[in-house]
Amino acid sequence: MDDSSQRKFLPILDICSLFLFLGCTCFGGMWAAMDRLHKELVERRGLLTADDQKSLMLAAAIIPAPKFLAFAAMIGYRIGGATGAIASSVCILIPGAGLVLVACAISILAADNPLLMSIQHFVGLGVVGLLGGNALSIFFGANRDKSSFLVGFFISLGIPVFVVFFDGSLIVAACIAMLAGSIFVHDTPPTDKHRAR
Amino acid sequence: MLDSQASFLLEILWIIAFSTLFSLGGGNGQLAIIQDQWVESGVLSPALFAWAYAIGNFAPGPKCSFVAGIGYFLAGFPGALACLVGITIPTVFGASVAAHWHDQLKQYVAIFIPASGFVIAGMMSTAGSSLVLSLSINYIEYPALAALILGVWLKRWDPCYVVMGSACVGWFVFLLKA
Repeated sequence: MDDSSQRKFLPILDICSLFLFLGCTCFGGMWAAMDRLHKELVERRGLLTADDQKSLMLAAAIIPAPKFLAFAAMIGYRIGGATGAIASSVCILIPGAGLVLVACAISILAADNPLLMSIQHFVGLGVVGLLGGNALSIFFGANRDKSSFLVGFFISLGIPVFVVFFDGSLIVAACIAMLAGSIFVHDTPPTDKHRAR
Repeated sequence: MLDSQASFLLEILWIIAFSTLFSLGGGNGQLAIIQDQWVESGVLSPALFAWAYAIGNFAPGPKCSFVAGIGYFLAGFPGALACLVGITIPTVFGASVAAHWHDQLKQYVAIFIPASGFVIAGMMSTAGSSLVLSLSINYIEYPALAALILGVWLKRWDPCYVVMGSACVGWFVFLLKA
């Protein structure tokens, strides 16, 4: 269905200011910022319908790119073409990236400070916890039949074993696993439990 | 001929751009690629890698903004810029194509979706285990780490709270030692 005649187009400066604003005010990633995005894009500016927003969010989650950035680029494309996509993705990144840069620059200046070293060590452990917990969450969150789950188990276990114990290339392992997985792992309809997630 | 700085910046740009492909399905396989390329090879210290990622969880906007910190630690401000350009180019391209041919492309992307969760879980556990091997962890910290992993998995602890809590523990331990 072509709904381009109903779409709103914005000048590039308006797109920049909109996504700079969203980049400053949305915290916690795309899903966490859903209400904020709805308020700004659907209710206040009327750039999207609620269904459009959900559809674009789902599409952003399935394309190989960071979700929130892809979502911004898709909105930018709809309201300003290719230039809009570039402007929206750059502008939504600027506030967060600026803050990260300032914090990293300060941490380099204070690199020898024992307090900072202690904090960095424990933050490192926290990041390991996040990686491990999220890996388990993604693994067990997948709704697959038994045979697919078994293949998935070998994929999820095989990658770290190949890379860590056999010094293999992560990129090669991931590409092979993705190809093998596309052949042997099959989707099953979501249950109520998985829909709730 | 490119000088070594320019070729390193190009390498950063290419690896970050390539790593965005492993964000399929909303997972963060990107972290694992960065860890494998620069932390494992000793170019970037594990503490700085974790630090940049942790700060990214507090920053507004997309969480992938942490790549700016990775680039800064690797090659200063030009490195940060290379990372931001590297993450933006494939995303804009992919998102524009997806927005334009949304319905037609969905079936092809869907081929890889069922396996993507398992692959990304494997990549994240690779990054986590490599990071554990790089950090010097003492025997008291292992059970705490296991509890943290269980909390993140089962209780879905928010990354902001995990990072903030870890920083507070670091501060507390520093005070105890002092």
